[in-house]
Amino acid sequence: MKRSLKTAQIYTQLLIVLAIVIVVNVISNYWYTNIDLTEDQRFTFTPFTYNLLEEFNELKDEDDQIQIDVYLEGNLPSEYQRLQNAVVELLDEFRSRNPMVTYRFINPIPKGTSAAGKDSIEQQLQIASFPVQGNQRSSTIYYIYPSATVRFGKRIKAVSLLDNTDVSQNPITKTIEIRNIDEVVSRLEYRFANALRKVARRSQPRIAILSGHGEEPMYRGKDRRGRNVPYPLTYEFQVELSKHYSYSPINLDSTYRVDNRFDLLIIAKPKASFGEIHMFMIDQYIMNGGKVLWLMDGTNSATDSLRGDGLHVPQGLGLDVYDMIQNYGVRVNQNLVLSYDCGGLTDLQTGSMGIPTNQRWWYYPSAMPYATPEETKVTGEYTIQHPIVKGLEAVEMRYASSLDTMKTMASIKKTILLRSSEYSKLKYPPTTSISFGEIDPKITNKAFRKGHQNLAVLLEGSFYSNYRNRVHPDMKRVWESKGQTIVEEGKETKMIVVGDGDLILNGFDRLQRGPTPMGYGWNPQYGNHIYANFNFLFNCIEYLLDDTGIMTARSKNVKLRPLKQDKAYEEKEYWQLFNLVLPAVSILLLVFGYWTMRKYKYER
Amino acid sequence: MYSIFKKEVNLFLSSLIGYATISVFLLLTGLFMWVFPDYSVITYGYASLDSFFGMAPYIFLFLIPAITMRAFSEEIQTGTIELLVTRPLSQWEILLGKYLACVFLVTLSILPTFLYFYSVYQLGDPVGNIDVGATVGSYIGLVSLGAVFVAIGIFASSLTSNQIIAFITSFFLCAFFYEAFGSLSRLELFFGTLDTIIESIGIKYHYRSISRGLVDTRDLVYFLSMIIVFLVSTNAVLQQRR
Repeated sequence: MKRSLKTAQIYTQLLIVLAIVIVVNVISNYWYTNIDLTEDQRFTFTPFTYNLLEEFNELKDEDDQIQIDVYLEGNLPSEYQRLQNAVVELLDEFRSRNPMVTYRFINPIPKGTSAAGKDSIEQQLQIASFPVQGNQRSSTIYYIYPSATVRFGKRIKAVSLLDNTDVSQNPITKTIEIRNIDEVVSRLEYRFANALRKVARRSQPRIAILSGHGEEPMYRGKDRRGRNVPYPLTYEFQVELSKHYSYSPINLDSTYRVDNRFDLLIIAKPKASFGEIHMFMIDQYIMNGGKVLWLMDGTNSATDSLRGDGLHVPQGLGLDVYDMIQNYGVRVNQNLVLSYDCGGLTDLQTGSMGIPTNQRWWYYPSAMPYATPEETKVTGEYTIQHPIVKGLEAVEMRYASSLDTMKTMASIKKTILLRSSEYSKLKYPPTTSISFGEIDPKITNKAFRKGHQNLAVLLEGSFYSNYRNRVHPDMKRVWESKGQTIVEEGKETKMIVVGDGDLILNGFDRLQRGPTPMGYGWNPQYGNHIYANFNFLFNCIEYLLDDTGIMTARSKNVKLRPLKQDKAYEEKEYWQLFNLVLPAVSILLLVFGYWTMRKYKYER
Repeated sequence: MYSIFKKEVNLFLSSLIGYATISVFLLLTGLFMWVFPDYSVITYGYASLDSFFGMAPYIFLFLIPAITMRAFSEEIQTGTIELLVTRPLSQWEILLGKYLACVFLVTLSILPTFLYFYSVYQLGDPVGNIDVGATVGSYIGLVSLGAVFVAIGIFASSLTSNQIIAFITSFFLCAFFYEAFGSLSRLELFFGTLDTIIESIGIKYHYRSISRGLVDTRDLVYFLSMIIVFLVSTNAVLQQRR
């Protein structure tokens, strides 16, 4: 009787302790803090990411969980394994900030299925596959899908963990290898945060694409005359655009203003003058906080113009809209930027008519992010890359015009995003010509002496109206009769000016009868190459549409920590011996020391 | 308490089994970290001790039960437990003395792995390119994990007079608490509902979190809770035995 009483007492004690422990653990889940010991503060997000994760608590009525499926599972090569680990770390951190986040890793190819089932999986998930090599010694090639989907309520967004420009193809095994894994890892926060932001939105941002001044047409399938054109040159652009935004072409002839419900206005490659009325509409759109992406050519040059006799005399376009952009802070020069660091013509572009391909074609300058880390090293100047271009590879421009930043009355922050290499020069029409004869492997970079030329500029601030103090009374009357007031000093907004309209275009593959990816071209270093045009363009759009500042997560830096692998392999035996023997020896020393100590003690 | 601590450490270090256990641990981690190409840091190519910290818990599954198995089992078997109880020491002092002695021995066996850190430090490109802060975090995680395993091992040892049974029981319990909850949480049944909670009962979840270099109070509270629960349980078992 006494014994059972004691037992009961012990068990009650135990239960009480257990209950306290559980309560303390639950409380600690609501009330906690942590210290990020990592040198590069890997686990500290930008405040915008934290805010975003918190915002989901207010959206709980739609769905109480954010489901993230990552298609990166299975027998992965080491760099992909690192990517996988980094994704786990990131999502764990997301989850600890907001328990609504749940994630899982899925192997999209179940065991036993071979490459045959590949296509259907790709179509099903709408994601690209990468051939990779198995572990070091095995030579089996199999396919992985480095992407994820983020699902919230009815909305689902795909996240690609790797861009085309993050990887390169191994020339021997034809497998896809990651170029700089740390760069990829440091951008994961942005990629997932961006997808979260997109699924959090109830409606898609609206983008207007200007037409009526010779801009690149935005049709799919059939053009305006009803002709069948399955793949226009803006096909790739539109496909991507339609995934994330709602967009529509607008023609200013049939309206009296640009509705500020459009979040962004894209003006792509206009070739004709706008006229005061259209310019005034765009101006007032900007004054009311509208954002604009200007993709502007200064001349009428194109490779197609060279097709006949291989000679083209470029003309400045002389658009009236240049003056307006100049008033906002950037002058579009009616010239051509030539650079030694450039792309080249490919067979696809020339259709092999005896035109030299796969040679440097000076009119395709490579536009590099300002400022590249290498330049920082050389000049010793501390430069920070803007989040739009951070870690971006070169962008290929075609017959681009240089941009100059101008002093403005309003205080406008001007950030140079892209510029040509220091081996650049300029050509001013009309006293010049373009011909294929200029292709010459003997020309060196010494011939390009004009230095860097700006090719893309970001403007941020409250712009002054192009019509400040000079509104025509007629215009004012019409405008006010529509119930609008004229704004002369605008709201805070931003715009990006790019000195090349071709950025929006993709090529056309005559053999495959399909579009080539945006920025597909030839590169003296890599051969056939996909330039970062796509990434740059959509980063610009994301940045202009972003009011939360989430894009700053792109500028996060994760330090590269490689091993001197060749040295490690060379001295492999030494390090193996060192690390197997020395720990054991240190234990032996401990034994020895211990026994001597005891003996000494004992003898005394 | 200190006298018990000293006695336990002395006892362990004067037995051949003590050295054998530590040596086997060091040999295994050394092989995984430097020789076996699938895990080796040389083929991994990045300056980090990740492969060591990934492997160490599994080696601890064997090492720690071997250290703790004799803590109480031997005393029970030889009957010295009666002597201990009659000494002018409270039961908690005995328990804590033995517990801390085992934790000390585990820490002692981890110490020589600083040589791995030195090696990777030397092999970094450039030399010294290793995240020291993150590595410190990983070591904090590993010691915490060891402390929990020791508490489990001590508990298992108090249950039986047979050291082999104590070893097997504590191996099973450690493995269960380390691995099982993570696997359970991945059942389709729990996806999106209970999976996070179930996973966070397991040790692995917290160990992985802390070894990244992010020291979080939630993980520390968890480790401490596990230690307390198993020590209190051991105390209960001993009390009942009296």
